Amino acid sequence: MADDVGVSAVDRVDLDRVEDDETLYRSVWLKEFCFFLDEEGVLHVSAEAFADRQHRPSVFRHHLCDAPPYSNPPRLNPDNAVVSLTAGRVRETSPISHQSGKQPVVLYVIDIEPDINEGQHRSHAVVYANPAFPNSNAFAKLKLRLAQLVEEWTIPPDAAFIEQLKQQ
Amino acid sequence: MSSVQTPVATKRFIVIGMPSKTHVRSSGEIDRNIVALQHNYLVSTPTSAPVPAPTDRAHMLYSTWESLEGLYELEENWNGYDVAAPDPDAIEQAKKWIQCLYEETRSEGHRWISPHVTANEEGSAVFEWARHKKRLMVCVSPSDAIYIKSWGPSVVSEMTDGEAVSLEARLRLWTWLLVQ
Repeated sequence: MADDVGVSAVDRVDLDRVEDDETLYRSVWLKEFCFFLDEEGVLHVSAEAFADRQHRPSVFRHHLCDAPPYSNPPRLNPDNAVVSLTAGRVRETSPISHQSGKQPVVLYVIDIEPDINEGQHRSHAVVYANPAFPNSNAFAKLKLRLAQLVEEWTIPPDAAFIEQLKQQ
Repeated sequence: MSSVQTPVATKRFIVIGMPSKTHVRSSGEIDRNIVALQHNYLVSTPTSAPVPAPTDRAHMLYSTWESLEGLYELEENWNGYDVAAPDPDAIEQAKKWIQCLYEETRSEGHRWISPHVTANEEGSAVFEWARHKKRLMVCVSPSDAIYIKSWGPSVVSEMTDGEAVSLEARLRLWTWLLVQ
């Protein structure tokens, strides 16, 4: 299109906001602790593939990566698998309700924001809750939902690894 | 002459790993253990004797045990992000939890589905199962066990959580997982 002449995909991306239609990548360590096969042999990514001590799992925005999915980022290690999510579907997990002990039920809004602090790559973003999750029990709901929202094995685990999982 | 069998009902009310007097450090801990006895909870006993490992490779818990032992090898940031190394006390507690669940499901005549073993960002041991649309997670810390179960896309109406420490809670989760 004429409007696009001289404008790169990166230039069209809003650096301050993650749009609903954006593809987000998560690099997943290729170890048995991050993947498993169910009884029917279906491969699943573990909820703990999204574990993060700050309760803000990192993702990388497709349009701002250099050569996705094989560049780093989003692939943080040459052996890692890469899975993809859609930003809008992540937001649709809102609200996550959680009750800690005898405290009142709290509704957590889930959102994604760019995070290029501390030398992070321009494509780096984080999934976060507002208000922030008070503990790992509340955060576990988000991790489980993110694992279920994985839409595509952008770089799937290799066949040798799958075979290793079958042997377990 | 046949040997005397321990009634199943008696086995259910054994609380595994109650700490000895030397392990009791506060009145709060005493209270917690009394409650545990009353409700047949699995209590935290990080310094109690280790759970015996299944040595037979054909044992249904063998691979789970190997995976739990594998958690000891994980260091901080093991998943490439900001996470704690698995807590050794949580790993030992997870062994007790999974062995309780295994024995209970066997005594109820349920079939066994091996869990996926992993760890969370705080170092708790985590068990996961996926069956059709259902996902079940149980996070075992040195002092607690909580579950999250999901059976559809809605976090509000198709995902719940709670404690997974009592016999009744464990069996309820297992029945839920197995039902089509």
